[in-house]
Amino acid sequence: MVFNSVVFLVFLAVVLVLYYQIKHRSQNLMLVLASYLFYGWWDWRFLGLLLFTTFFDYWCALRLEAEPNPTRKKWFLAFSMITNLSAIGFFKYYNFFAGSFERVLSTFGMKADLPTLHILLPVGISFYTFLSMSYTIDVYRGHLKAARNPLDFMLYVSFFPHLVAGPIVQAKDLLPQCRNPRVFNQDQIINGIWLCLLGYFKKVVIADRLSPFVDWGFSTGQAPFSDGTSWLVLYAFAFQIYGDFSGYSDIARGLAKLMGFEFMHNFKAPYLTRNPAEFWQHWHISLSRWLRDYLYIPLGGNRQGTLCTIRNLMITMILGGLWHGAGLAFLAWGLFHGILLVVHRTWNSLQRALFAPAIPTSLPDHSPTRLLRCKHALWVVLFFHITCVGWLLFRAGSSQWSIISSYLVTLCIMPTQWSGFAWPVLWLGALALLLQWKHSAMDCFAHWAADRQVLAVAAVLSGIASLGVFEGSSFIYFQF
Amino acid sequence: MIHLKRLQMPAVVLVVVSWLTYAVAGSAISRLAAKRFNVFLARVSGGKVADPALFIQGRIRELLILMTVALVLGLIGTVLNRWLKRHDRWQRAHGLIMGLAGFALLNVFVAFAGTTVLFWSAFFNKIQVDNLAQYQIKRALMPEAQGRRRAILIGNSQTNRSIDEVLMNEMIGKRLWTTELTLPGTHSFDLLTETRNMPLGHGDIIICYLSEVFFFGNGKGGVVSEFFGFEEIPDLIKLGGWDLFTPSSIRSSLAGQILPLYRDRSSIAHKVLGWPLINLKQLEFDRSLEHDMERQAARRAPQLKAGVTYGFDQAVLTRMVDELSARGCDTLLIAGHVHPALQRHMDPALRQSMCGFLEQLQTCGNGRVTVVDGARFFQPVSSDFVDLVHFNDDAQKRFTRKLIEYLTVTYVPPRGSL
Repeated sequence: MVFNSVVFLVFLAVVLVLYYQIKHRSQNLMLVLASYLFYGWWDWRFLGLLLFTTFFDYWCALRLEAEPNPTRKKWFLAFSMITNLSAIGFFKYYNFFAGSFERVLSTFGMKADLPTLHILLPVGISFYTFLSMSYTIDVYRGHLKAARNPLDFMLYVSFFPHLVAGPIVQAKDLLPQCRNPRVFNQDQIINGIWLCLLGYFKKVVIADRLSPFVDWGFSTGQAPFSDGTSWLVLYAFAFQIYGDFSGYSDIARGLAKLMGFEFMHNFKAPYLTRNPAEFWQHWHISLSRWLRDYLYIPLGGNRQGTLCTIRNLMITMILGGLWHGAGLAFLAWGLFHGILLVVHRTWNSLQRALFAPAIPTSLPDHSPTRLLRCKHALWVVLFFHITCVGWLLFRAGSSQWSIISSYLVTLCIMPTQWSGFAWPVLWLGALALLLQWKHSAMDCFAHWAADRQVLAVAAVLSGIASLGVFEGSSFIYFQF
Repeated sequence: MIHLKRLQMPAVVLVVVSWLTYAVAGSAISRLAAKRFNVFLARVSGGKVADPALFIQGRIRELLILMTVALVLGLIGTVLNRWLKRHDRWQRAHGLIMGLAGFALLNVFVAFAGTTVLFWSAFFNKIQVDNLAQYQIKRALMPEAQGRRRAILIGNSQTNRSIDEVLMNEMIGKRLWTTELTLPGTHSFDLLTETRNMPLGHGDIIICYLSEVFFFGNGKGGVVSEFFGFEEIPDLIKLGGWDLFTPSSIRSSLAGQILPLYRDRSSIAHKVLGWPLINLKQLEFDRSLEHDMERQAARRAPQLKAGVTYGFDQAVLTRMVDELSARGCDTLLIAGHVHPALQRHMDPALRQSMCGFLEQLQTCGNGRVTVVDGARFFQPVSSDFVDLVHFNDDAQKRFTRKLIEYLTVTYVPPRGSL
């Protein structure tokens, strides 16, 4: 059941009607049942894993809290982590690691016949496993009290708006909302409706319209392109994945608001950032925050000297890349962003060491501000193109190294002409950038002037109806 | 909002004055303009505009209708806005509700505009053709062809590639005005719904080129969703087609009936996002086809078979010719041909079955249905085709000339009798 399907819209209507009629406890029970129905719609067999993850972590958290011995506590946490990671590892990474292991052995002249399993990847496994793990870790750290009511915890893990593609809402944010009765206000519902509309617009107009062009650009036999099409394909994918994923996140946040919940922002203005550090504060924020809180900082963060910081950054980004999927391309993508972060960090340190005294603390009026703005814009443009090169690794996939290499060659050639695809890609891209530029305003729709509200709703609805693609295509991040 | 309020009264005055001017001097203005733009119109339309003065008058009327509709809808919006402002309960959601109302009113406007040439002209492109826009323009222009007998070409791209309407209008346009209302990928149920929506009159000749690909290509008729409405549901069930359509195509068609903006999305997307992006899948499909016709035919021929849709197609076409006859129209069905290579690889029983059915059709419709074998005009050879089903330009012209000869003898009365 995908958000952009008719079945989901009917499901949502029924859920909302029931939800508004009943009291808090019954609401939670109904939402759990609805969420399991939503998830089981893909494949009922996936429900077993979801139930196992939920009850296993529920039990672990209670034991962790009750355990006075710190060593045994640690063992419990390790047990929980290993079990969760084993589940995700088995379903997501087994075939990749088995294949890689066989290839490594074969380079040394050895042979291993590891069985290749035909495993169906449960939708959203990475999302709800990370969600559940964050809860156990928080309880272990004492940041959070273990949930007593299993229904509250089931709702926290399985709540359908975030279940299959996030945001990875941390337990300390969402669990109290599950536990306590929700307080509704009109503004929240209005903002929720607006966010849903905006999310659908991003998905069916921006992402799904660009999708055939991206598929064409990455299909075998198309690249290399002699004109600027290589760049256009990368731009198109950059905007497609933004429209797709941030659209999903908007719909998720909008749906949550309609039921009185609040989710964190998952996207701000990722393509208007100047450097990788900023980018990761704007792109898939819930994952960045998870990686920071539960991986980077526990590894030592930036407190143990330059080399350790570089190591921690690289480990975090490589694992962040692999979180997306089992494949060398995702590993390369993580590595690419890790290197970018390291270079940026080093450059910043150097700049501070060399030029800091020369920079005046207060700037004179007029021209320097404009100059800074130009410099800012130039960095935004440059970093956007660097991000696009990263998307090349992400999109092409491990099996298409030839496509990656042919793209890398053509990207270095200055385009002399643009194909007929330039107009729609740049047009839809401009729309995506406009929405990013105004991202903070999008959240307080209820406080806009009435004229702006009318125009915005009518324009978004008209855009969806007249430019949208309604083939019920899946969201890209469902595969992760 | 304040500025809009100020505009209301001048807009009402403008519309009223415009209508009055049109009533008094509309026809004279149109004639004057026609004199001035006669050559330009003839060049742009390729001779398809029957009467330039009538054409210009029609566009002026359309403009006035659209202005009036916009004004009325604007006033409805204003009234709704005032009503909402008076009710505190709706204060917070005022913008959201008015936005929804704006969307609804825009759809109402598009519903009206969708019947006009002016609206569809915005989507017209002679090189990167938008089929729906072209279809709608020609359909809207039909009532303006007066005083002559009319031939309407219907069907899929095979009709389009077999018969040249421009040549027909050049050669016998003064006696028989031809317009082509074909849409690529059209199937039987689309033909039925299309003809129901056409402004046909007594004596119109409906010409359709049909071949084995039409009947045995296993199409279910979900392509032309623009003309399938709620009123067609009983027919779809009665004729046994309900199970043959995908639920999504039915949903999409019905949604299009409620939201004209959604119904016209292909043309709007064409215009806004450009031809290459929208037609990418089709271009890729075309490129993926083998250049060797023999190999392409060998692969394609086994896919052509009398499937579950054949019975439905027969029932629908029978209904269509009955309805056309009841409206006083003559129907000319041409049993067309495909590429000789495809003909060779195809089961010969298919052609027999098709011709047998078409002959049966001839007995329907009170003698107003004629079936002609395409071979009567000429027997096509491999070099006459650009692909497995479509004629090249030269073959199209030759076929059209033969068709004109036939029409002149069979349907069109001698000069001066009308």
